[in-house]
Amino acid sequence: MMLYVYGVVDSPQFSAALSGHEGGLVFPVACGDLAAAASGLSCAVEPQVRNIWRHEQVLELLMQEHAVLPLRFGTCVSDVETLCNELQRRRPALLESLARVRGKAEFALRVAGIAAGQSAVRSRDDSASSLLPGTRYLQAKAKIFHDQAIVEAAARRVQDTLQPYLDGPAVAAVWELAARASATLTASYLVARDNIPQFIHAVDQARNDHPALDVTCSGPWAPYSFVSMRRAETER
Amino acid sequence: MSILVGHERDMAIADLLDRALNKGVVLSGEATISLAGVDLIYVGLKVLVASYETASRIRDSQAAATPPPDEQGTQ
Repeated sequence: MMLYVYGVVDSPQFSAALSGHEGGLVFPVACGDLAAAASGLSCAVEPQVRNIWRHEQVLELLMQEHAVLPLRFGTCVSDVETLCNELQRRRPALLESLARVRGKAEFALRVAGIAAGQSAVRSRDDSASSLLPGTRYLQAKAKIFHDQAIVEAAARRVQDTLQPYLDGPAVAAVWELAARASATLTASYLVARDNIPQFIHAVDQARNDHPALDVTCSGPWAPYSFVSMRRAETER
Repeated sequence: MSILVGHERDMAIADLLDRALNKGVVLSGEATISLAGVDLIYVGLKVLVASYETASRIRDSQAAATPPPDEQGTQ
């Protein structure tokens, strides 16, 4: 029997019974002043949408009463000792992250097609058979870099347009040009629960003021995007 | 349950997958993900179970870095 771990929690006690993967009871594993939310599993969990929703649902229920750091979906450990050793090894960073996300939730922002209508590079007769392979390669590479520059410039403009609306009601944000090929700009916003109505209003206002931008927003989610930086520092 | 401010539920699923599969705390060594009930993939190889955006980003970077067959000396 392995342990499936949903998240790190700031309390060793859960007030409500939570149902996890395969209907298993989610229980706290206390490790000093940290705890993990886990359930017993006979095998690893497949990355199917319904299982990923279950992972998220457990985290959201825990977030109603506790500060929670979500673990990446699919995290299993062999036993309690291994789990506690991992948590203790990262204790300072985990405690800092818990303090950072306490009482807050994450919102996902997605802006698609940010470079739509902008001219991409026109290569000069790339298909000409007279060109040497090396020339064709360099031309293709130049086109890729040029297209990327167009998308990145568009992303900066869109970010500069939206940030004044969203930064006020939020605590922190992470912007990312998620996919250069599809020119999709994404952002994760950490928002205090008391400020969620203001944040939603800000998103609506930005969409109304800039209808040409294809903005979608979802949430609240567990704060997945606001734990990784500390993890990276810890792992150095 | 999460609310949708946007108009497309599919976008919410994409947002969730992007987070649950690519972000969050990673415990080293012991964490595994089962793919199609067959393979156990260590989190160090997490790009194998990635969102569309991540896959696109990886594909883009590999395409930019890989010379064409002629440049590699193959016919």
